[in-house]
Amino acid sequence: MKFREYRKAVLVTLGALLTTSVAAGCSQSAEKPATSTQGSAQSAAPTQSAQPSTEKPIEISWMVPQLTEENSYGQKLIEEKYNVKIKPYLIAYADYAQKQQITLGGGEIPDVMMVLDPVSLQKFASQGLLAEVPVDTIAQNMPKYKETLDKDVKQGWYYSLYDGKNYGIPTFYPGGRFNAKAEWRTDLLKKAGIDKIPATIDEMTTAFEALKKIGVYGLSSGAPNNAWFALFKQIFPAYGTVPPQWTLKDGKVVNGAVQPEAKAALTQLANWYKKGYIDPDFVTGKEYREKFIAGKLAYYDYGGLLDLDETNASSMISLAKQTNPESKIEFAPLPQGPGGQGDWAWGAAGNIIAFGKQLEDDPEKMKKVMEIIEATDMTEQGFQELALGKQGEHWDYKDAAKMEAGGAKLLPPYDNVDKRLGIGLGDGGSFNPFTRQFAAEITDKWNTEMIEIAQKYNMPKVDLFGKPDVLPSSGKYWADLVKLKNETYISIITGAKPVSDFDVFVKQWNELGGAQLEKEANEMYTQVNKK
Amino acid sequence: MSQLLKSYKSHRALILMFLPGFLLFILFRYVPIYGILIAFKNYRILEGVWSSPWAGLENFHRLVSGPGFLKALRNTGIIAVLKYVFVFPAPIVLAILLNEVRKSWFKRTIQTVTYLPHFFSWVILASVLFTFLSTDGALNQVVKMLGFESINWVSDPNKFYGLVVLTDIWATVGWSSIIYFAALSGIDPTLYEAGIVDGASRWQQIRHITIPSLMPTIITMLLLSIGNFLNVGFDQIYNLTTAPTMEVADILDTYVLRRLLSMDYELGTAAGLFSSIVGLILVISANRLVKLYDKDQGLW
Amino acid sequence: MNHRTVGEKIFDVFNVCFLLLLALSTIYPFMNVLTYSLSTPHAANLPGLHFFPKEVTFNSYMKVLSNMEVYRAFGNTMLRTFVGVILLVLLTAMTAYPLSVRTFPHRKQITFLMVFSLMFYGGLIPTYLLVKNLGMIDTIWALVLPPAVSGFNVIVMRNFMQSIHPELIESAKMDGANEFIVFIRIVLPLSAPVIAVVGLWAAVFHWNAWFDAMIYTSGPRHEVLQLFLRRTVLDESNSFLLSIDPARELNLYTPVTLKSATIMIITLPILLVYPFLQRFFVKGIMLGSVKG
Repeated sequence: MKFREYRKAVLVTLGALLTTSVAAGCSQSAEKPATSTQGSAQSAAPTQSAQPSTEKPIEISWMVPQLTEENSYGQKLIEEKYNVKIKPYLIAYADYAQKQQITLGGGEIPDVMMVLDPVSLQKFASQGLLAEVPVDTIAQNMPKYKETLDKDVKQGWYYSLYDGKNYGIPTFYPGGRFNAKAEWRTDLLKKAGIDKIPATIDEMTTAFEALKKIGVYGLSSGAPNNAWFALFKQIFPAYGTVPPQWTLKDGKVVNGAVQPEAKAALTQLANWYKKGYIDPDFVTGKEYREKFIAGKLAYYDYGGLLDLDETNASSMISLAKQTNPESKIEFAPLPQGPGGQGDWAWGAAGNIIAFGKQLEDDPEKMKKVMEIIEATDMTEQGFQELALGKQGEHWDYKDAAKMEAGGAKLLPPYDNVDKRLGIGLGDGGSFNPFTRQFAAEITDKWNTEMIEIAQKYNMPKVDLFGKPDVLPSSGKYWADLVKLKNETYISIITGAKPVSDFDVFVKQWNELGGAQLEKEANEMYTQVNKK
Repeated sequence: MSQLLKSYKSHRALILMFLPGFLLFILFRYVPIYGILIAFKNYRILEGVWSSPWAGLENFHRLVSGPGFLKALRNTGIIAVLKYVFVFPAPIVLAILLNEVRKSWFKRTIQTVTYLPHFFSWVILASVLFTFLSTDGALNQVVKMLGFESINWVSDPNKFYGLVVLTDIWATVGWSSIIYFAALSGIDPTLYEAGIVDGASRWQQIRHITIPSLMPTIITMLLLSIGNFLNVGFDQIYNLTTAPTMEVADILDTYVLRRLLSMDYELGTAAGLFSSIVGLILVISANRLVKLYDKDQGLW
Repeated sequence: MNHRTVGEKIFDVFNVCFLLLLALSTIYPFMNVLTYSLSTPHAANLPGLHFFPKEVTFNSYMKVLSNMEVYRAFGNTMLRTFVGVILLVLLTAMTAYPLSVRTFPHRKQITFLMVFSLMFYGGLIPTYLLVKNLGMIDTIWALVLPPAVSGFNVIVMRNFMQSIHPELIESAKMDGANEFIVFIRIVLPLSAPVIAVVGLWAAVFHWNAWFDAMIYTSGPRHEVLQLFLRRTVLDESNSFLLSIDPARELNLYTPVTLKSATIMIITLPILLVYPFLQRFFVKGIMLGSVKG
């Protein structure tokens, strides 16, 4: 369940980014995409293969979270280029975590596998299924990758950590650098007599009051999995806390859910709720987006980069205009409060690439895989070959003069993501099936426009560990704690419980394992950072 | 012994007919049953079930010692009882009511339409329910038209069990009634003809012909389902729960889910075994009760 | 037409009204998904019930049906359903009939084993290892053999077969029929309603099953419809839902309308099975089949 929640959250933000890159890629091709996914791919094997090798190829079993075709173009490309023979386990992303557990549980351990979340990695490692991957080995074999991780994606190292040792290579997730957009229906604000987009909590209160008079709710909450992390996720940071993220406070690691700042935010939210500024349906999170589009709600905390694109007939703004031609939506700075401003973000670390235990005795193979990852994810050529494919066949520059700065256009029939994934290529923007996400420094160059939009009003608040439940005892306590947090927060906001119950909650939180986790969080933080 | 041999001999054709299915049944249902041992083990994947070290009752201790176990057990018990009292009879009532409809096309259409929800996941069912029941949803529009304040249907702990029971009936009544339609089709029509000749009213026909004819099927379905007493419908509850109702909606399945680390086979197996044993006790008792009442009924 | 009392007439009116109301409510999820599947992006993004399509378009259907993988998955599902139902019904009937004979040896013990299996189950890993050791991975047998004989179906069928009048069987035997002929000529036709029910259960089970297909098969060749649905619906990042080019295509459909169209395409065929089977539920069918 936890995994699904993560993924949902990750996906939506990622989805926004992916859509943008595809958009950047295809807008010039006017033909309908061909839809057959079979046949042509096999014949379209890579032709410009690397030097022919006389050595016997190394055989690698590789568990891939993508249902590509057998012997796909992308797989052959890697095989020929690096003189390996891949025996892939092809698993659809939706089924990956479950099928991985069963396959490994049956004692079948692939050489290379993507592990989606740190909790699974810890469990696999504790069962002795994974090879230890000394950080030094990574530094030796993939120096550029390691350097980028250390520089931009430091929390990734928490994902691959078990019992003080490193068990894999964290992957990149460039989309996690950005938070979702805050959006206002400025047409409604205007109708209510507010001319300036509210920038602070106090200005929000004034605006909500005015909006209420014209029968519009100011605030709601309903991003996927509302309950666990997305609950009013742009309001709490204004008070200086991001529940339930781990964060540094006076040199100590603490959890945002139990800080006095959260109580202050809850006081404000309960007050707003009582005054009728908050849509009571925020509890189920249903129709959040629909209500914003329909003009029943003025503020939206889950905006995407393309929402204001009027050339797109079903962007948020276009849909709103179809309902009411007067509609106006604007991106806004995140609300400013006594504690600053910000919004939940996942950070730039993604998943983990791990190795089967057997590779401890086969350092050559591990080295080979590292070589492949380094060359693919860290180089321009790797990106072109495995995310985009063959120039002229799978893609081309949008503007030959500008090269990558102008973006890529995907050529039909390969402008269809299904088709692309089927032949073992990436989506054209950010990842490929085998080594997953490319480093941001590679992909950003191709998406300059979108990155510019993403950086506007960007104030991501990232958990100290990236994902809050990577601690050793998380499995034991975390889900209960999150449940307690949701119940309490929502009860306080809706007035079912008084705000003073927050103090009872803090006590319960610590008794239910919160104190233990805080201890572990501090230990883990010190341990990793003293290196 | 020789009697048994004789019995084998006289039934050899039947035994021959019986064996293929039975062996398949044993193969897939009983050969893997050693997996239950995982509940008592500290399961090491690479060592396999048999060689993994024993853990005694530690996994069960983990199961029952988490915060809220008793509450989850209580909630599960309440929902299970409510479902037996209200949801179990619903398809029987539907079958009887439809049996009273004369127009065959109407009967068939209603049958087909009522079984539709079975084909949609609870994710979808909960989603349409939440839309229908939201504060300005269709139902509350009616409520407001009648001059009342709009009512909080989905996130009020006091209404949650009602919500669970009603939506469960709504989602399953058509599908579950199919077996009773089949049973009704086994009733000899001459019984009704004789009843009419004797001047039996419709109600008397239902009471003295329809219900007794359905009884064996009802008892069988009751006994078969009581073994799953503690499985009160995870998908439904999980999808209908909102933060304010968690207190009353936390059932064993959701409780276990919260502490199921990835690959924690031990806890999952222990929880399953717990439910199974409760189920077994209930089935055995219920079967005995039924046999007290009528020797020929009962599963075995 | 016999004479009806006032009370009975009132009952009839209430009964029909109640049934209509029930039907209206139970058709809602179906109509909701249907409506989304036929909606334009604008209509799909309006709040409200979505009970009846406005702004109808078939774009989502065309998009889903233009994906060749649907047809392959359709074929795989059809095959497993067809083989699975025949095997299940035949083997279940063959197991249930002997158990319905009251003198059958060990009848009680065997029945108890069947009931016991409804609650106790070896778990995922041992079952997976069994199927793997039997060499069934990536074959249809892994999908159709494990569920072929279940305690539930056997007991339901046995229960129904027990209500067949023993005289019918005795008289057939008197005429010189052996057990197999009795089974085929008398027992099976008389059990038509329950066979229809178990067959329907089996068909719906096989049509909707994905978990076994997920663990026992791999690769695109073996993908069944429900896995296709999971991959394309749940897997929002990596699916054809995202292969939408916003500038060109997004005005035709949204992920929600595509998802709904996929669900409709996958669900409609299995929905049609029941109306077809309903003729086995007509009163007196058992009598007719014996006389005929």
